[in-house]
Order: sequence, then C-alpha cells, then structure tokens
Amino acid sequence: MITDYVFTSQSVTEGHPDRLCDTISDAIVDAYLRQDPTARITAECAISKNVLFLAARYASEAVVDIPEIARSVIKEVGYWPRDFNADECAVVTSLIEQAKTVRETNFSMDDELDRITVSHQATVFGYACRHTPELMPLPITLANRLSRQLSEARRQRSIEYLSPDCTTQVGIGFVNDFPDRIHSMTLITGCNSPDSMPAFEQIEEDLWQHVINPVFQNAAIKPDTMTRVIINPEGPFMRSGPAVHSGMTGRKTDGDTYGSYARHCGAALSGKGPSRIDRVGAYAARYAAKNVVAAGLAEQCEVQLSYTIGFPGPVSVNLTTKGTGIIDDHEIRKRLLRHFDFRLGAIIRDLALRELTRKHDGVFYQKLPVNGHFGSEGSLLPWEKTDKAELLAE
Amino acid sequence: MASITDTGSYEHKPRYCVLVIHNSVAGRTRFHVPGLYRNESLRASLESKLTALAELKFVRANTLTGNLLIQYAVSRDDEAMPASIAGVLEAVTGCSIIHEHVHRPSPKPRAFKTKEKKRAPAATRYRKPPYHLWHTLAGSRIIKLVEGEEEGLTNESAHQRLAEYGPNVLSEHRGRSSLQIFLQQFVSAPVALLGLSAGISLATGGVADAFVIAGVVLINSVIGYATEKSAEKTINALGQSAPGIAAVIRDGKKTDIALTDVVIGDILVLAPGTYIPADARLLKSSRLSIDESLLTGESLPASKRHAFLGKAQTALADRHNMIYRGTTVIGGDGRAIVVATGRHTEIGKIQSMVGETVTPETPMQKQINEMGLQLALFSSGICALVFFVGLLRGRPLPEMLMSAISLAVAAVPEGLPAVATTTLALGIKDMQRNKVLIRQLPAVENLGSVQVICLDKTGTLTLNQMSVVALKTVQSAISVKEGRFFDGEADIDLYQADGALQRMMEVLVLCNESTIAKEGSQDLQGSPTENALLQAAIDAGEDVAALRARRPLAKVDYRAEARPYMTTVHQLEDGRFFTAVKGSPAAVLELCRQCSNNGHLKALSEDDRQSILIWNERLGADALRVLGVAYCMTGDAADYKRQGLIWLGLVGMEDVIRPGMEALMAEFHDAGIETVMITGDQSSTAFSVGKRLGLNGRYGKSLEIIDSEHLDKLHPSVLAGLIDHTTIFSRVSPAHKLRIVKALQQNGKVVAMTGDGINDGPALKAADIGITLGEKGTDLARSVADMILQEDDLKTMVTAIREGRAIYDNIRKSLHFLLSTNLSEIEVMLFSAMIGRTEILNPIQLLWINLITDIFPALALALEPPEEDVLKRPPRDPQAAIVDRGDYAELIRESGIITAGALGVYGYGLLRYGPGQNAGTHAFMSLTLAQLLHAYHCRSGRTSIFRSENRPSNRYLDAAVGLSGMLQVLAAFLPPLRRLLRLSPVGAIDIVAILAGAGLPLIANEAIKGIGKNTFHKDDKP
Repeated sequence: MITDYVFTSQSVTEGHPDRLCDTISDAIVDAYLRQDPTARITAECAISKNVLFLAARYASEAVVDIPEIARSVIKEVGYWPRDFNADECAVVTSLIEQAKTVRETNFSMDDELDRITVSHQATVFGYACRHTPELMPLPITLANRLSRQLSEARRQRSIEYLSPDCTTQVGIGFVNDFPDRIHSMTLITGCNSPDSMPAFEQIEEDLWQHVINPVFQNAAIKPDTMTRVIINPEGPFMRSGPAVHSGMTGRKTDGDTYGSYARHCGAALSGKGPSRIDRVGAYAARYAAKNVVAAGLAEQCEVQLSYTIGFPGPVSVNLTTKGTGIIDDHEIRKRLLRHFDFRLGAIIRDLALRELTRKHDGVFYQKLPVNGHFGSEGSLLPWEKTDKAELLAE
Repeated sequence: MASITDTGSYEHKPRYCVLVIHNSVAGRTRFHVPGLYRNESLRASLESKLTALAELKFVRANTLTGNLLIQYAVSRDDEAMPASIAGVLEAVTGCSIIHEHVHRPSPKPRAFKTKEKKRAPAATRYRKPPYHLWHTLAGSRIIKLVEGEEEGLTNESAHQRLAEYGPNVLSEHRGRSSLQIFLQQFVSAPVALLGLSAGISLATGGVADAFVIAGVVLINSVIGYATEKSAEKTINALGQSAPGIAAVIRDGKKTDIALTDVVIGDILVLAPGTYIPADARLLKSSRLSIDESLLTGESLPASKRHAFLGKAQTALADRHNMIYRGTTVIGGDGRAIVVATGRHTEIGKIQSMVGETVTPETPMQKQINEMGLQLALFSSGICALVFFVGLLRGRPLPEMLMSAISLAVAAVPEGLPAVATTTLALGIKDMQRNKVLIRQLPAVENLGSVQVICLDKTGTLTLNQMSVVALKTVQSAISVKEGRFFDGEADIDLYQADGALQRMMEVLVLCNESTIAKEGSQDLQGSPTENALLQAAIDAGEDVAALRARRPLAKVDYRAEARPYMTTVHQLEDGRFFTAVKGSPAAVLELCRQCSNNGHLKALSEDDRQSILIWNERLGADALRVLGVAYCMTGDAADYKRQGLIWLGLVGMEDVIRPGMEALMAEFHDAGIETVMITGDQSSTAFSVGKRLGLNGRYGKSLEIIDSEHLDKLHPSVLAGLIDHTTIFSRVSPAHKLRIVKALQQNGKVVAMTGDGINDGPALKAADIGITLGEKGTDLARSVADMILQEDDLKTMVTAIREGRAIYDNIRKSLHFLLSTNLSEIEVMLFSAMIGRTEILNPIQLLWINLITDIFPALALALEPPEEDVLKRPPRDPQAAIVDRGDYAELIRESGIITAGALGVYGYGLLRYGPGQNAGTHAFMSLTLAQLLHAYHCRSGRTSIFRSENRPSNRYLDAAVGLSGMLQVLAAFLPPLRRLLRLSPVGAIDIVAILAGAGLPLIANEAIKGIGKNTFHKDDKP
C-alpha cells in the first residue's frame, strides 16, 4: 500500500457560476422554510451569460418571489456590473406545485417516524479524519479556507481588483498517510476591471499579504521553501463570472464534501429541502463519522448509508476505519446503530433541519455552499456536533 | 427619395432657389442664382451688397453662367455659411439657399422620373410649396423659410395658406364606382368566351342560343355585382380610423383642428400618442421617440432631437430632427413646424409613386386566385382535348367549337375569387355584430390560424382596479371576496371574529384620502389603493361619513421619501387624540411596541415581529400590495412617536381578475391556442395569477416564467429558444413586448397580441393579429390594431376565433363544391367526346348547370354555421395550401362518382330510348340534381347525412338548393324552357332513374366519408 503521496483538492469562491447556482438554490430553500418549515422544495439552477434558469418543485403554503431571491443573491455576490448585472439578467423559472405528503409532517412520536419514507434512492457517505481540529481532510480544508479568504479580501476591499470568481487548489504531501507538508498551492484570480489591471508582482504581493499569510497564520503546517505557489499561471482572467462560463447547481460536490479525499454521493447537496435523503443523509453520515473519530474509536472513519425508495430508514449501514480503529469495525457499527437513528424522519428531527432557517434569522442553508457544508470552523452546524462521542466511547 | 425626385424636377423647371453648387474648395463657394443670367442690375447689387460684408474677400457674379463665386476672408472649415451672407443673398435674390447635392444622375432616379412623368398629375390649382432639405437647416432658418412664427400662425394666415397650398390630404382615393364594379363583371375570360360562343351561335343561326348566353352573362354579372358591391363596402370601411384632428398652435393657443386643415408653418404640439399630420421639422423636443415603421419599416421607435443637423445625403430614417406624416409619437414631447402637407409629404410622395391605394389581397385570396388561374388553364386544356377528339370523330366544326367553349365556361370556376371575398366580408360583418371590429382584412384569415395569444395581465385579464383580498391580524387570517369576509371557508362577521379588526377598519377609514363622491352614492374618489381600503371598510360595515365627522382630523403626515407611511391624528370626543397609521409594513412595525390581540393589548415579542414579517413576505409575494396598519391613543397630538404604536395587522390588496377568464383560458387551450401572459408584476404575483387562470393548461404542466426587466439585453435567438414553453413574462415593460412577438414569430408561430397603451403600438403592429380593447385602448393602439374588441371583453375573442376558423372552413367548403362539380362536368364531356356519338350535354345545358349549380349553393356554403368542434381542433397550419394533394384526390373521387351516376342514367336512357335527346336529357337532369345534392356532402368533412351529430342546418343552403331544384323542375316541365334547353319530356320511370342517378352518388360519397372518418379515428387513438 502506498502511504506517501501528494493529494490535491480544489475549491471555488462565491462568484464562481457553479457556486452561485448552489447559493441561489439554497437561498430558495431558505425562503420556503422561512415561511413554512414543513415545506418540500427542490430547486435547481443554471446560469449562462445573462440568463438564469431556475426549476423549482415545491409543496408549500409559502409564496416566494423566486427571481427576486435569485437577483438578490447575485447582487450580494457583487459582480462587476459590465460582466454580470442582476437587474438586467433574465430569469427563466419553471415551477411545479405539488401537494404535501406525509414526509412534510412534523411528527414527534417515535413510532410515527416509520411513516416517513424516503423518496429518492441514494447511497450517501460521511467521513471524518484527524487532519484538522474540525476532523476534516486537510487538502479541502485549506483550499476552502483560501477561497473564503479571497472573498474576505475582496469584501474588506483590501484587494480591490479581485473578482468574486476565483479558484484555488492545495496539494498536500502525505507521509505515512498523514499530512506532512504543503506541496503546492494554486490561485487563479479573476480581475474585476480589465482597464485597471495591476502588474503581476502587485497581484502576487497582495495575495501573499491578504490571502495566503492570513490563512496559514495559525496553521500547524505552513508553506515551506519548497512549496510551489502558483498564481495565475496563464494570467488572471480578464473577465469572470457567468459572463464567461456557465454554471449549474450541484457541480461542485467534491468541494462541498471532502475534496475527493473520501467517497461522496454524486447527488447535489444544495437546492434540496430537509425531506431529501440525498442531502440530509450525507449530513447524518458525517454526523456519525465525526462522532466516531471524536470518540477516539479511530483515526478516520467513513460511514455509508444506503436508502431505497419506500423505506423509512437505510437498507444498509456500513463503515470503514481503514484499519485505524482501536476496536473492531463491527463493534463500532453496533454502537453507531445503537446511538444513531438514520431514518429520514429521525434525521430531520434530531438535527432540527426544518427549524434551522428560522433559528438563524431566516438564512441558514444559503450560507452552506460558500461556508462549507462540513467542518467549517466557528459555525454551529448541527451535524458537526460531537455530542454523541461520549456515548460511542463507552 | 425626396431629394431624387426633386433634382429631377429642377432640371426642367426654372430654379427658384439659390443653389450651392460648389463647396469643395476650402474658402470659396459657388452659387447658382436664378435670374442672374444676363441680368446686370442683379449682378451689380449682389456684388456691391456682398463686398460690403466683412466676411468676404472676393465676390464675382457672372451674368453669362448665372453663377456667383464668393471667397471668404477667413478660411472656414465648417460647411455652414455665415448667416449674414445667406441673409444678403436671400434679400437680394428673393430666393432661399439650398445645397445642390446630386451632380451625378444615377440610373435609379431616372426610373422614378419617368414613372412620375407618366402619371404626372394634372396641373393642380394649388401652388407648389417651397422645398428645402429641411433636415440640414437650423430650426430658426426653417421658421423663416416657411414664413412661420414660433408662436404659431394666426387663424387668418392659416386660412390663406390653406387656400394657397390646398388641404392636407393625400391623393384622393376613391373606391370603384358602382358602374365600374358592374362593368368589370364583363371583362373576364369566361365572359369573353361566352361572347365568342354567342357570336358563333348567331353565325350558325342559333338566335335563341345567343339570347340564352346573353341572359346567362347578365345574370352572372348581376349576382357578381351584388356580392362584390357589398363586400367592397365592408372591406373599404376597414382601417379608417386615423385620427381626424391635430393639435397645433394657432393665434398663440393650442388648438385642435381638422387634420386636413394643417398648413405649412403650423406649429405641431407633440405628446405621446400624437398622430403626426404632416411632415415637420422639430423646434423643441424632449426625449421624443417616434414609431416610423410605416415609413421605414423599422419597428423599433426612432428617437428624435431638434438639435440634430443632417447632411444632404442623410437617409430618411436618420433624419433625427424631422417627423413625418403618418407616424406616431411613442414617448416624450416637443414642438415642430410643418414644412410639407398633403401629397408633398414623404408618405404622399410614396403614395403617388405606387399609385392608388388598393386593398392588398390576403395570402389566401392570392392562393385562390393562383389556383383559379391554374384550373382555368387545366380546363382549357381539357376543352381543347374535347374539341379535337370531337373533330377527329367527325363532328361539325361550329358545333364542336360551341360545345368546347361552353364546357370551358362551365368548367372554369369563375366564382372562386368572389367566394373568398364575399365570405371574408360576411365574416367581418358577423364579427361586428359580436362587437369585434376588424380593421385589417388579413386578420380574419389569421384568426383561423392563431397559435399563440399574448395577453396583458393588467386591464385585459384583470379589471385594473385594486381591492382588498386579505387581512392578517395577530390572531386571524381573513380572506376577502366580493365584499365578504371569510375565515378559511366560513363566511364570517368581521367584528365578531376578531377584536382588532374594528380598529383596523377605523384606521382604514380615517387614514385615507379617498372620499365618497356624492352623498349616498357608491362611487369613491381617490387613488385605486385608497379606494380599495375604504371600500373594504365600507363592506365591513363602517359608516365613513359618520366616523369621520365624529373624529375630526387634527393633523396629516403624508408619505414622504424617508417616511413610507401615512399618519393622521384625530381629535376624540374625550379630548384625547387617535393616531391612525398605515404604510410599509416593516416601517410601521418599527414604530410599534404593542399589538392588538383580539382587541386586547399585548407587548410585541420578537417572535411576533418575526411572524408578522414572514406574513408580510408571503402576502407581498402573493398579493400586489401590502400595507401595515397601526394606531394609538394619546393625550397629545404629537405624542404618538414617543409612546409607540399598537400594531393592528396587514392588509393585502390586488388587482382582481375579470370574471370568466379561467374558463376562457381553458377554451383557448381546447382550441389548441397557447396563452402567454405578459405583466410588469413580480414573478410570484404573476405565478399566482397564472395558476388561478389555469395558464398551465388542463394537465397542470409546469409554469415557465421569464422574469426580466431587460428583455432587450437577451439575444433574440436565445429568447426564441426559450419562448416556446414560456407561459408568463413577468416584470416586462410594454416596450419589450415587440421582442416577445418577434421571438414567437421567429419560431414560426402565428401570434395574436393584446395591448392598449401607446408603447404597445409596435408590438401590435408586428403581431399577426394586434388586438386592442375598444374602451380602454389609446388612439394609437386603436389605429394600429387589426382588431378592436369593442366591449373590452376578451371573451369576444373566442367568438372571433370561432368565426375566423369557420370562415376559412367555409371558403374551403365552397371551393370543394365548386371544384368537384365542375370536374364532374368536365368528366362527362370528356367521356362524351371519347365515345364519339352525339354529345351528352349541349352548350346551353352546360351554361344552365353553370348558372344554377355554381352560384347559389357555393354562396350558401360560405354561410355555413361553424362546426361543433371548430374550437376543439388545433389551429390550422398557416403554411398549408387551401386545397392540398389529398383534397385533389378526394375531388377526383367525388366528381368521378357523380359522373358515374350521370353516365349510368345516360346508359339507361340509351338502352330505353336509343340514341337521341332522351338519354342526354336524363344525364343532364341527373347531373344537375346530383351536383345540387353534392352541396350537402360539402357541408362538412366530418359530419355526414348519416351522422349529423346535431349539426344545425344551413337554411341558406336549403333555400339555394330548393330554388335551384325548382328551376331544374321547371326546366323539365315548362315547355318553352324545355325547348330552349333541348330537353325531351321525362316519364315516371325516367324520373325514378334520374333521382337514383342523382341520389346514389351522394349516398356513396357520404358513405366513403364515414369510412374515412372511422379510419381516421382509429389512427387518432391508438
């Protein structure tokens, strides 16, 4: 088994069209849940030039001005108006209204949860490892942090010319399956106004000062002299955002999850309300895996949940610690099954998925695509809690 | 164009103007001065006056060439001539200066010139108005040139000019006179043929025949005249609604005068919707945009500005400082001075170039005419064949000539064009009865093929009138329908249900600018929103007058920039003050500290606020407008801000959908017509309205919405790609409707579009059918629309579509009948020529058949009532031929069966009586009757005499067939007529045979239709 290698993960900033579509889709989810916590909503989004396509299927009493929400998200991202203008873009919506089913009922009694069956077939994965304090793989964590810092630098106006559409990649050198050093870092930045393009040296200096250094300030592993830092190898993008490349919901699922370091379900996380198992199942699996690692039962853990239409719970719960477990994987699975309820209704109830939007002043899911669905520091995502670690450790 | 025609005339007429002929060398200009030729005194005065000017270095006038050369003292790089020089030149010569611009006569102008010469108008009694290249001159110069005043003409001088230059009318177009119509009936190929055959008859001694033929011609002409005359009248009445008045400044005042009284020098007052009565030069303008599509074909409005100065070669469409007759102001305003009127306007010139305005033929009419021609050629070929075969068989030449010509007359479907025109005209009249005014003839035809109908939401689908539809207090959510209040499904008494509501209604009455128009009346005066609120309070049982009297107004704070709410303070009887507040929910909620929960005060918790804001969002997304309502009682009038208000609730208002619209949309969908709603509202409102209207169709497909304030930024091909599935356009401004129409048309759709505003004009014109509402529509919309729904009721649109489809169907039915019966005659005669013996039908008989079977039944078929399923079928393919291949096969089959019947009877006659008049008589009788009966076959392609499916009868057809049948009976039994037609008497058994020969083909044809129908159904439903 090869245990020394380089692993790269990549991430995009908030203005990347794929990321934008994710954010819009989740903003719509929030808008429905804000008015009606039991709403069922699926929203998908595609963007190209100045047309935004939005398909939404919902069962809800809520009334939502979908194009307006999309526009306000775009406005917030703040593209250079000549590239992309929220007011001028045409929003094409395709809406289907459905009737609510039992899935959209808030049950409190445990035996009632069996009536909530899943409506999608999905095998979802959750992963956790000891690379970072949040128990996430290091490559994606760093890539995401760089992306967030890029956005931050733009919002703080410390780098004025930065466009909201940038991409980052981080390569980590692993020794004995554990992160050892930063192998490489790539930052591709878009430029907001081609008329006032700064010199390459200026960009490099600004990025080091306002992006790279803040990210690694308190990091355990910092770039060393051998780290290859690549900035705009083909020159910065003169134009960026939807004006130059199109985007779609659910095309950055690796960045949303574990940066391909662990398996992930191909289904998009964004744009789906709490009754979609392919989204909430991934959260539940992460919740389980993180608690296993937090309990000290293993160095890393990947939980697999398989759901079949018509069943309230998973038809298969499986996990692997890849030999890092201090006890047998079978034993860990037993403990998992004892302390976690992976039925759809139970996930919704235990993680309080329907109430999250209202609890967070009406904006919760919308923040996930940019801040990260997993492992983001500082925020309190219910599936990032390690409250079951003690139970598992016993 | 103007310049071209004008140069043409300058070459032949004395020049009235000083022409700048050479300007290309810097610093010098050469002029041609009229009257300078061999005029020494003019030369002297020109030279002396001009040399006196400081600007000029050198002046020389040549009396031999008539040219004047000047050299400027300072070199000038701009082309304009100093005003002083122009002034002197004009003063001395008495002429104005213009630039000679065309030195090279191009071939094109010559063509125009000759054309113009040919139709050179007889010398008019009016003076030719001055002509300049107006767009190259400054406004102030133009005022001088046309001797106008910036303050407008005086009435007196206007009258004088009117007498001098003539009224502002385009070349008068008169329709054909009655006599012309009548005479035109005689100048047609069939009549010429008939005349020829009459001549041959006379030559061969058949005086009686000649008279019969003359009679046929006369009867044909009278009928043709009658139908065409009435059709012409109806069609000519179309589209005559250009406004008859123009706003000008006379005697310093803005005055409305008759369009025809506009004279050169008049100052036009331009405002949105103004129809421009004459060509004019702008003097003032502010964001003026003009629809010039009539002249330039460009459907996007052209923007105009008075400051623009053009060059001589500037194209008409780019002369931004000129406005032209026949165009309309879309937006902005301005003033302009008239420079040309009547036939001297651009549109007048075009009109005189293309000749008289003729009503253009619709595509269908063209198709029918073309088909008529082809059929005429085809039957001529057959006639020639019959003729030569007859000759070969050894029949005498005159006789063969006669019968070939008669066959030609009988076979040529000369009724074709008349049928189409008449049917269209009758349809237009019928629609008028249903309050649908057709303004363009092609619209009738398009009605039958409309595939998409674009509807304005506001005013067309809705009443354009606000009313309260929802009330939301802390405790309850109440919906309001037609002045009644509902909690869920239950009809409730408002004040019993919730204690907060009475206070709310009081606020709505007190904090309201609307008033009741008259004591005791229902009418409210005020803005739509205020009226809606007051009406809701009245419906709830408030006595507005009493309440307002009891609580007199002490202070009002209206909405303002930073204060999105209105506050009124009222004196109470106990000396305290009642403060009523309504406005933006979020802002009003900010001011509140407490809320009224069923009449009891309680503190507003964070949760309460959150829930109120969520309701605000929900109502806001669903209804059009949401207001928050609050109040408080204070001891001091200005105290409310300190004390905090008491929240009462939210009021949601919307523009109510017209009754019956949902059913109407379903009718459109049943008829295969897609409905597209266009609205300026946000997309959630549009969605909720669209859903209530059932725009997503019977099967509840997804509602596709395009939401864009800037459709113009969307590439047309992208829009065309998206548009096919789109049911709603939200946040769209009327100016972008044109793009929607164009995109739909690009996808090959036949589009109907409603609109009533000024900026709807271009879209209405571009649509295949522009529809405007009679009462609501602006003049502009009415003048460009193809159809006007007089009662503002969209439901009449369905009637119009039914009518349109029926018209097309009926024309097809008439065609079907005419073609199949004529074919049967040809077939009989062809057969007759082939077998050789005596001919089966003689010329007079053929003419008779032509007379009694062609005209009346065909016209009656054109009056068929619409078929039952006419609104259940998809619209017809606009590209499809009116008679296609399948139809021709059917025609040949049907005519073959009729021919077989007639020949069968002929065979029977031969067997019974041997060769002679008898068999021919039988064939004639049976063929005529079979043709008459065939009209019933042609009534429908779907129902038959066996399966009538409750189809209403067509009494016109019954009458026509009855009348023709009676004539036929007279022919058989009235001896003089019988002799004329050379018929022999028929016996009882013969009658049975004839009836069989006439009836069996009908039964056979109807049976085949039944089979065809059944198989069709099998195919249809797998």
